[in-house]
Amino acid sequence: MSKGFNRVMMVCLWLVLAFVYIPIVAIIGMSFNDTPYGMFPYIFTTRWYTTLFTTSNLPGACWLSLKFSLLVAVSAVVIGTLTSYGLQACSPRVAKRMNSLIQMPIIIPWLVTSISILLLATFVGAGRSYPTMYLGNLIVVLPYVVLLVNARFQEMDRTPEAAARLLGASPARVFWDVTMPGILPGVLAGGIMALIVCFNSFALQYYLAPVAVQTLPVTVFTRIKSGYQADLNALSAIIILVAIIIVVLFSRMGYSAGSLFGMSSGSKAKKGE
Amino acid sequence: MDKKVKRTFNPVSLWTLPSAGLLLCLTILPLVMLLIFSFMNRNLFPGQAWPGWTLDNLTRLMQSKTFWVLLAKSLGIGTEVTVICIVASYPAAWAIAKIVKPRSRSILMMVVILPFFTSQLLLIYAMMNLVQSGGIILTALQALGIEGKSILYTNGATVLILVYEYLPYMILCLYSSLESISDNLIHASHILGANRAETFINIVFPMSVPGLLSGILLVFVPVVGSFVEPGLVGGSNGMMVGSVINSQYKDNMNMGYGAILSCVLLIVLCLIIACVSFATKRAQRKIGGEV
Amino acid sequence: MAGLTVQNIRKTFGQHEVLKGVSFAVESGKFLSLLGPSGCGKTTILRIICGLETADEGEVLVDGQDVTKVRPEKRDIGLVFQNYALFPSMNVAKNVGYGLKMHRVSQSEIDARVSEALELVKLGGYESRRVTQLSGGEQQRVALARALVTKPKILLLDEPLSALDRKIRAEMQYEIRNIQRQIGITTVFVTHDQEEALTMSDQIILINGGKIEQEGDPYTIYSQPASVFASDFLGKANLLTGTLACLDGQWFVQGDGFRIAIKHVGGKEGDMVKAAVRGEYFEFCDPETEGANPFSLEKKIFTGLSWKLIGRLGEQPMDISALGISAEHLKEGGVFHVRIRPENVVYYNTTEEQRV
Repeated sequence: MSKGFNRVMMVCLWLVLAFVYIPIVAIIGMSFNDTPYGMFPYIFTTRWYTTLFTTSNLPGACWLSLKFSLLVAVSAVVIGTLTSYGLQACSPRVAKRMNSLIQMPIIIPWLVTSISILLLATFVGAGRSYPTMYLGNLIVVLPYVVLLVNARFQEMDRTPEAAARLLGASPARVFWDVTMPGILPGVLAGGIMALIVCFNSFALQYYLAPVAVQTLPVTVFTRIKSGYQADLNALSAIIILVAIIIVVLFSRMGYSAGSLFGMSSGSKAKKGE
Repeated sequence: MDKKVKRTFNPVSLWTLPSAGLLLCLTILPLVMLLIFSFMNRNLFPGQAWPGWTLDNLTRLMQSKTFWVLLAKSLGIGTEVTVICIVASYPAAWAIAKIVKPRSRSILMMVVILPFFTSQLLLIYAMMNLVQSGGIILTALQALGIEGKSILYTNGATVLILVYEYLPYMILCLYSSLESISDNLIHASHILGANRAETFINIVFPMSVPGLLSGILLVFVPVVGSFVEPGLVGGSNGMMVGSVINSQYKDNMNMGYGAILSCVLLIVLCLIIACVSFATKRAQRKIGGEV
Repeated sequence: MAGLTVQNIRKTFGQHEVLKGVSFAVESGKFLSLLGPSGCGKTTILRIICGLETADEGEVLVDGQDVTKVRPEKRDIGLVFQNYALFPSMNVAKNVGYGLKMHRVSQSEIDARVSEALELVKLGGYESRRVTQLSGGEQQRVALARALVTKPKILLLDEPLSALDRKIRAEMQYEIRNIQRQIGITTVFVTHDQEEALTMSDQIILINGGKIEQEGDPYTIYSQPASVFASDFLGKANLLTGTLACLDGQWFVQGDGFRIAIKHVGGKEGDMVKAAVRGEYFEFCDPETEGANPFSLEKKIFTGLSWKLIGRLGEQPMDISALGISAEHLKEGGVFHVRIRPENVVYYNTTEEQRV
């Protein structure tokens, strides 16, 4: 590989990264800027953070979103883990079908998903409500959990489970003592993914939330429409910080970005070697 | 004596049933609802009885120029955004997969994927902030003496923001495929006399097809269906098909019409994805030779 | 202690009939090896015995009781897996004590018995170690301790030594056998390594293609293999093709350039047979000695333990295995005379390749 070519590629990479991060960095910078509109003059302050935590309605919406997302995430983790466990016991043909089916919510645009679930809810008489929003979010985050736990099962040695059975453990005991500790990283990663995706699922909440309920994405949306809001900058900075923490967490747990999205490559073996 | 029935059925597999049930009720059934509502007479609200059937929505759809124009426009924007993402991502993904030191790879990929863990709206907001009048870019240009108008509230802004949102997905997908290509294959190709372009077409591209297809799926589909971005930054001329569908439910309550528009959108997307998948796989086979 | 009986086991996976009616019995306290090439079904038999697979037909009896329908967790059979299958999230003590926990034994008793078991496998003091940090040999011993601590009726071992280094393998073979004798537990050991089977077992069952080829003690199976397959599997057998001949009441196998005296067990004059002669049963002698045959040495290979002499007996290719001292002086290209005792020759008819 010639140096020139490599250099060009690296330049492209840095351009792309700059493109992605300049707006983010700008927002963080603005969150500490006293001037409410525009960039200049730049005066350092933390007053927007204080506004954020005292008078703004954002923390309330944030708390609501958090509680709701936690509920969805826990449900998704339980159902998703059991699903993945069941999938391991299915015949390969059936498992393949089920896996394609489970991935459907990922590839349908959220607008269509939200509308179609809203219609169903209307049809059965529930309409916009907490249960509707709960179910809608559940179905779009479930695939992530299943994919991540599946990946964990693929690389896990299943023979200790057989050993446990022979030592007298009932199937339920085996699941709890041996299987769960083995798949735990996948379960946790799935839970975190579910939490984040649900937390940020604007379209679903926009359509399915009960009318007066303001989850965070919905609140932010209304705010954005009204233009530049300085305390929004502060909130953005905080969200970015949380994202950084989560990313570091995932790295520590040993997850590559690819495995989080269920990409098949994650194995050490390369093609062609 | 009769042979015992072979028990290949493992009862553990029944644990998949809750998910199957949820999928049925929350993915399949709603799609069916979409179809049903398309032919609904009047709006239906929770608790009401079924208002009756009609083909009005269908006729309205057929006669509407706006929808089809916007659909075409959305597909165009979808293609534009996808192509830009592909063009920008190949070098970036290649750089991370092949040029950067192995230890830095996963860190860089995490850096790339970080925006995913923030909010979609936040990303839109951040970009809006950057390009608006009084924002950093225009202020910087002004300082250099260049007068500029904000790109905000134009179709260009929509494309820009969509690229901004979905670029990390494409990079991730391509990286995943490119990373699995062994260096030896590239070396072998060069030793056998191929230049860089030929190596790319004959060796790298076919092996990156799975990642490419995932990437196209993850980018094209949501982009075509997007409604938030055109609404916020597209300006008065910025509508996309998602905006129309959205307004059927948020502005003028037209459930049936909105439903049939959604159906058409889905069908068109499925067809396109199937075609793209078929075409790319065929290109892959042609280059690699029939197996 | 319990005996094990397996009756008429049949098992088909998909289209492939893996076990075609296997029956055998192990006396209480004895060590049986199931020996055979990969894919012959020996591991499947083991899995059927402990309940991880169900046979299509046939019964498994432990201590006279039919356990065929009993669930694996209730069969009271210990199994040592090929890859040890230790629980990665538990330390050594928890691994070994797991079975006792399932049997609702008190914690204090568990601790005592775990220590005892670890002493038995020479890993005293290893209780709080992480299993992932142990060497292959150590993991092997933990797996053994775990299987034995619950005092099961039967012990099964599925090629437990195949992943170990040669030297450790040899040590473990000796130790496993020792422990087994000490406790007196009925044991079934699966392996594809004939030397392992010969070293460790009271009884060997040779399996090929889902059927039992031969059953017997190590010495008999080795020196009197019942088929060409058996003689070839248990060590290199030279196969000499010839015809049966009878001269003055003494039977011979006669072929191109050689004539070996045999003990007649069947067949008539003129029958085509294959005679199996093991390379180590040849003695060097003078050309005039009775039964001497010319052996032309083509190549000499030193294998440490012995010399491998590759050449021809008459016209037919043959290998002789000779201890260092006796073969050192022999030169490639030369012709020597060798003889073999009639009782060390086994012959088979050429069609079924079975003992005549």
